[in-house]
Amino acid sequence: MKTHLSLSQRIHNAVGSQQAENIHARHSYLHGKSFAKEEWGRIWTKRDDCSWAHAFGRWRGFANVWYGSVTCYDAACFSRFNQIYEIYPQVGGMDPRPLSEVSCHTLVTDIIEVADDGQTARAYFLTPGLIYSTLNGNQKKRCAYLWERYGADFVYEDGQWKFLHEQVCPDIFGNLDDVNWAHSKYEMLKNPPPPPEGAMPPRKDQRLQDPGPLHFDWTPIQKVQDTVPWPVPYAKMDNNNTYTKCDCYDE
Amino acid sequence: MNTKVFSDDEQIRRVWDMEEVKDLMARRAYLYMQSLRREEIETLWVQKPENKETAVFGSNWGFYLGLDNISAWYVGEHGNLRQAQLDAIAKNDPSVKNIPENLGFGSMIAAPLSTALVEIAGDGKTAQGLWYSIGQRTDPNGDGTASAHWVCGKIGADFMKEDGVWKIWRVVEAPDIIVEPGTAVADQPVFWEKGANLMENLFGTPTVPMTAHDPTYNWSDSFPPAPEAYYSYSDEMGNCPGGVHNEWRPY
Repeated sequence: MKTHLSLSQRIHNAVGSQQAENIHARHSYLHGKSFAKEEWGRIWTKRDDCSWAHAFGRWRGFANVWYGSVTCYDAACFSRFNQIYEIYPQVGGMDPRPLSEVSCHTLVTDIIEVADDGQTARAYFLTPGLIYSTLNGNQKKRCAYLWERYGADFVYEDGQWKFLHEQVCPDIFGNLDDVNWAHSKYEMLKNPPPPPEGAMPPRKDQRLQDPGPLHFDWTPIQKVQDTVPWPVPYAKMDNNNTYTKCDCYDE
Repeated sequence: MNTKVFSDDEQIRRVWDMEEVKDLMARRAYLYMQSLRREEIETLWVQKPENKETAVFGSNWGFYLGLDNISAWYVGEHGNLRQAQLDAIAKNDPSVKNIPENLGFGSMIAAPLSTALVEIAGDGKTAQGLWYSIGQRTDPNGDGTASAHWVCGKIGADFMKEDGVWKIWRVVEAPDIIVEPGTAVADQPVFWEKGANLMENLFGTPTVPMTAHDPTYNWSDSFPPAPEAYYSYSDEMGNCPGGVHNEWRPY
């Protein structure tokens, strides 16, 4: 127990701990609907030091995070809508975004720390999730499991807790329930599949300030990664206590 | 919107309220798995007559209204199912005695809770929560074999305080994925044929039949609802027929 803090400070931090869990859950439900604009417009800080990272790299600054997480995400949703509206015309007039898929990143095993100064919070989660959709261009349902880990930093801003940093670390992925990830990964290593005919080379995203890979998903030839270590008790955010280092934290 | 500023005393009460609500739902999950449904209804749900009248249990296909109707289905029909299963097992295997202690022989249902999003009303009288469950249901076939299914979906719930104790008032279980382990979701028909959906069949004949959640369109319907900060409860936001907003449905 942090007895060096006043009772009032400890109550503030207890609320912060619960809000970190709630905000991340709100992300899960908004993301499950592909409501990117609502998520990044509402529960994220607009600060220049905010960031969002995945295995492929990290966007820094709100404008770049918005481009990667809202602009590009919306485009992918609309592209999927274009694949289904002639097959399932009953979707006409509906918001295309939720029709894209349910990307359901459940949250378990949270480890949360709130800074002594009460201005930031840090959280680690495991997310054994599912990605599924019913109406698809190939007229088949799809459902995959996706296990990841999250490292998230939050900031207390104008009386509300908001996302500041998020780093996503995918570990295993495959069709539910007919794929053995250990076997399929082994086969991919032994017999790498050729790139699909006509496949485009990976897009070079000039907005990706920290190019990846920042994390490697599971393979039989590496130890488990510790890309987003659990947060430890801390006094205030600095470069030893964040999921995204920034010069501004050591000033 | 709940914009009230709380004193430290009020705030720590609300922190504890949120933990009690989460604990209440975890206890429900425990009793659900143990098939102690009558105990769940009698110890975890509202008991004051006026609250029992407005209690709700819903699913994708409608709602049971009032605790007596809920109990008749949730406890009564479930008990009948378990008795029929035990009758068949005992008939095929005389070593299994057909006695009340053996009800549930060969079965297991688990709905673990993740991704908790809980809001306590500003007036402190009610609360609302949303969880995601990657669950399973296993039922005996009567001949020594059994049938297993993954059952994954949101679980929404509304709570109220009775004499200072949090109680479950309304629950909605909204399955999205229902599939036998070892089989591909892609092999299921895109649209369920009448009588083919296990969970619809088990839901019986609700007091208010209606489409409350249709996973055909993923999470387009936003039901059960993700709770928002609020001051006092209204049916419009609730896990009840009045909370279903089907304007999104094309036709």
